[in-house]
Formats: sequence, structure tokens, C-alpha cells
Amino acid sequence: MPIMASQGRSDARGTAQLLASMALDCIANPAVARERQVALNNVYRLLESYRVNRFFGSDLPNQGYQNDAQKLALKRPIERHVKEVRDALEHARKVAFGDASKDDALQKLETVLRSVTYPDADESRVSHEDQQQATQFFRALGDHLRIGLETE
Amino acid sequence: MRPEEFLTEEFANVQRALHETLRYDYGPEETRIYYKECESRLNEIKKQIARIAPSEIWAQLNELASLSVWISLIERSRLGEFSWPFAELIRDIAKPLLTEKLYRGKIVIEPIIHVVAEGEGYQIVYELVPPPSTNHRFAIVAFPRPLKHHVLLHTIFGHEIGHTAQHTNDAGDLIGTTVADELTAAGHLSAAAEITRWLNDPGAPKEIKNNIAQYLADNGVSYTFPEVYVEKWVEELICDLFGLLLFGPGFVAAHKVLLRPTHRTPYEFDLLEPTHPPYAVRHRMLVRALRLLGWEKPVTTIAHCNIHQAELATINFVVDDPYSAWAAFFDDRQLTAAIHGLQNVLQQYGNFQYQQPESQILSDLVDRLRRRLPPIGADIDREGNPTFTEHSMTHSLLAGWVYWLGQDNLVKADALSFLDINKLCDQALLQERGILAGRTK
Repeated sequence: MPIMASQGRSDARGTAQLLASMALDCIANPAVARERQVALNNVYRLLESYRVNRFFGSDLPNQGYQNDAQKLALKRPIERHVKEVRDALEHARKVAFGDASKDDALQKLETVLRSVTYPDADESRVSHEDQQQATQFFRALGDHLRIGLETE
Repeated sequence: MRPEEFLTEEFANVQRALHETLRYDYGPEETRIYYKECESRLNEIKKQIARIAPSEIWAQLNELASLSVWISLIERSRLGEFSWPFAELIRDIAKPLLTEKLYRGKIVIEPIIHVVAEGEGYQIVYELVPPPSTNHRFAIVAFPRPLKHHVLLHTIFGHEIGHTAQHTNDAGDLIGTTVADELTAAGHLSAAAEITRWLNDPGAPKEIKNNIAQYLADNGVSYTFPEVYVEKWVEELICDLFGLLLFGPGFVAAHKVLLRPTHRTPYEFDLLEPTHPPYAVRHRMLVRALRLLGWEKPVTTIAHCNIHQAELATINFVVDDPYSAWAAFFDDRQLTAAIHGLQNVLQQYGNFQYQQPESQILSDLVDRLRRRLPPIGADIDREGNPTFTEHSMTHSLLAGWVYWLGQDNLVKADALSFLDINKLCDQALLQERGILAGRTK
């Protein structure tokens, strides 16, 4: 096995962890959000995939493991651990929003994100409680992913 | 070197790799967009690195590693290795399906569809979880290098486009609610237990019975279909329908030519990792769907003489379904609802649905192949002026299949080889695109 194989290339959990951490950072400190619009748009994309796409995270136990010839191909390796990202999103939703419906929870999160990302264009009112729930959500998401990786 | 320093070093390395690429200076328009996206991602990563927590350095290194793969692909898109007119057709179809609308349509972002040739089979690689630096998502379309000219087989990309579309937030949502929900509401795909029951049906073919019995002998317990794979079968079957609706009977022909020989038996599937339904199930579904769409009826008439016979031979090849009744997975009501759902999706995203050609168009296209000319609606009129009748590129491909599968009716000797037919059809796509581009100018 190549020496760098221990590094988890194309690991969706790392990407999701970065996204959660940036969202947290911007909610806590809206002044930095303006220069992080691109990253926050990707947080939104991730949340939308979780909210509406039934195939999101339907990767299989052995998906992403390539044979020797495939490893030499220059295509990007298949993203691994998308299922774990979906599970972490599910966990974070329960922690932050309890029994609220998935749509209601995600609607709230996306409103907070929009208000942080585009404060000038956004007309919706975001309460302090909404912001706290969003913070709780992204913190739980990051923690769950980190714990999953540490116990692997 | 501390981890933070290594991250900074790696960033500079990837940045240098991007700047050392040459192709963007002289490549087509798409290459420049691709290059700009890589450059923009690097700018975003630079901002991220400035505030990175030590616990996230590994994830940032992964993002850089992914970006370096994308950068290396800039130089890998060589027009001489795949059919570029077909690649353009894929771009046309995929672009509206993969265009994203963020914040309820306030921001619209198109994908970057990049085409390469690889040693392996047909694939489209799409970014499922977009890294923080992403503006446009990449979709890499990989043609199999050995099949450079085989545009008739390239219709199998209809299936791959289906996979990618299902993983988008817009078209994917619609496919989930209007197609997948229909196929899983009742019947064999409604639960893993239902598939297990179907596998143990007394009417199952002997290959299945033997496999199930062998599993029991090896493991001491009866086989149960793994829950996690149900959604995979849903996805694969939807992709087959997607291909049919995009490319028509030509897709079923390509599906049969490419897939049947790769299965030892039509009923075989991997019991432990059942990623795909048995071939017989997929073929049965496609043939039934084709009949429900009315595409098993010839468009030419007896007045078109040999070409009509050739079309009938093609239809016979496509609808031939010698498999056990057990392979019928859906009832007509379910299948019709799924077809309507997909038609609705395609209508909303670019409207690239296959339509049957008019009889004279198909006849003229096949006749051009008989005369060893690319099958397009171009000709010279009596005054010596060039004429051009625009039609769907899928009709040129259908003409290719009709010539190949019905050639016994068309020529007595010196029939074109499968490769030659494909080359002529490839030329037809190229010429048609050229003529249309010229007209636009």
C-alpha cells in the first residue's frame, strides 16, 4: 500500500468539518462573513443536499476503494464517508432542534446563513434564539464528525 | 517543518502546479473557465489557511489534494482521445440538469463540465460535498479511451447523466419525489424484505435458486437482501429509464451490446454486494417502458422497402426479451408513473427528451449510410446548392443502429463495419454541429 494511503483523500467528513467550522466562525463573528461568502454558499449547498436529496449519503460500505489500475487513473477518487456526513447532520439536527421537522429546522438554519452571508440583501428577521440554535447545530455537527474520526 | 508550515508549502506547490499548466492559454473557452475556477479555489483556500485550527489541517490538506487532481485534469482533456461532438452533446444535456439555484433561485451557478478519456468505462464524477472554496462544481465526464469513435455506444452516457442528476439538489429532489417514490411505494422495491421474498419466489430461475442454496450451505443462514442496497437498485433502474428517455431505442441497443456480455448469466448478481439488479430485470424494464412509450412501432412504412425491413430488424433486436417472467419488477401503472415523472424532470431541465423521427427523415439518414455518407440532413439540390434539414442528433444515432442491425436487408456485399458506421455517425454529429454553429454566426 502506498505510504500516503493512510491520508484520507476525498474524505467528505473533512470537508463537512471545515464547512461547519466556518459557519460557526461567521455566525459568531459576522464581520468575517463577507469575505467568506463562497464558503457559506457551500454550507448552504450541503444543507440542501441533506434536506431534499434522498440519494445523499447512500454510499456503500466498500465504495471509493479502487483497484490498482483505477488508482493510476487521474480521475478524482469517489468521495468516501458521505453517509457519515449525513448521519452527523441528522445527529446535529436532533441536538439543536429536537423533534422539529427536518424542513422547519433546515429552513431556520438557511435563514440564519442567508442573513449572515448577505446581510444587506436579506430582509428576514433572525432572532437571537435562531442564531443560538444554528450555533448549536454547527457545533454538534463538527463535534460528531471529529469524534467519529477519532474513534475510527 | 511544523504541520502549519507544511500546509503553507503544499499550498504554494499546488499554486505552482496551476500556473505551470499551459493548456489554458491556447485551449477552448471551457478550459479557461476551468482554470479560473481552480484559481478562485486557491484564493479561497488562502483565506481559509490564514484562520485554520490545528485540528483541521488534515482536512485542508485533503482539499488541496483534491484541487491538485482537478488541476492535473486540465492537461488531460485531449480532443484526439474522444468524440468531441458527442462530448458537446453531453454538455448540452447535463448543463441545465446540473445548474444549481441557491437561496430559492437568488444565486444561479452553472457546473463546469470537463471531458477526459480514461482507460475504464463510461463515468461522470461529480462533487457531492462541495469543498468550502467551490464556486462552480466540477463534473468530469470520462469517455473510455478505446471507444474513441463509438458514438452509438456513447448513448450509455444517458444512464450516467441520470446518476449525476439524482445527486443534485434541484433535479435530484424532483426525481426523488416524482420517480423514486413511485417505484418504491409498493412492490419488490418497497423494502429489502420484499426483494428477499422475490428472490425466494418459486418461479425464480435456477441460477438464482442455486445461488441462494449455495449461500445457505456456506453460511448456515438463509440469504436476506441487504437494506443498504435497496436505494442503489432504485438509483440504477431510474438511470436506465433516464437513458431511454434521452436516447430512445438506441440506448436499449447500446445497453444490450455493452452489458449483456459482461454478465455470466442474465440473472446473475453479487449476493454480498448487490450494487446492480440482474441484467434480465433491467432489460425487461427497458423493453416494457419502450412499449409503453410506443417506440416499438416502426416509423418507416412498407413504402420504404428495405429500410423498413432494416428498421423492423432493429426493433426486433431491441425488444427481444427471452427472460423469465420472474424478471418483471414493476407493474405497468408504476412504470408509467415513473416515466411521466422523468418526462416532467427532463421537460423542466433543458427538454432533451428523445422523440421518434419522421419516417422520411429516418429513411434518408439510413440511405446516406448506405451510400457511405455521414447520416445528416444535408444534400445538394437540383440547382447545385447545399441544403440542410435540422433534426435531433439522436436520429443520426438511431440511423446508425438501423444500418448495423438491419444491414442484411440493405447491402449485399461490402457492408460497413461497426467501427465504420460509428465513424460516419461521429462525423454526422461533427458536421451538424459545424453547420449549426455557422448558421448562428
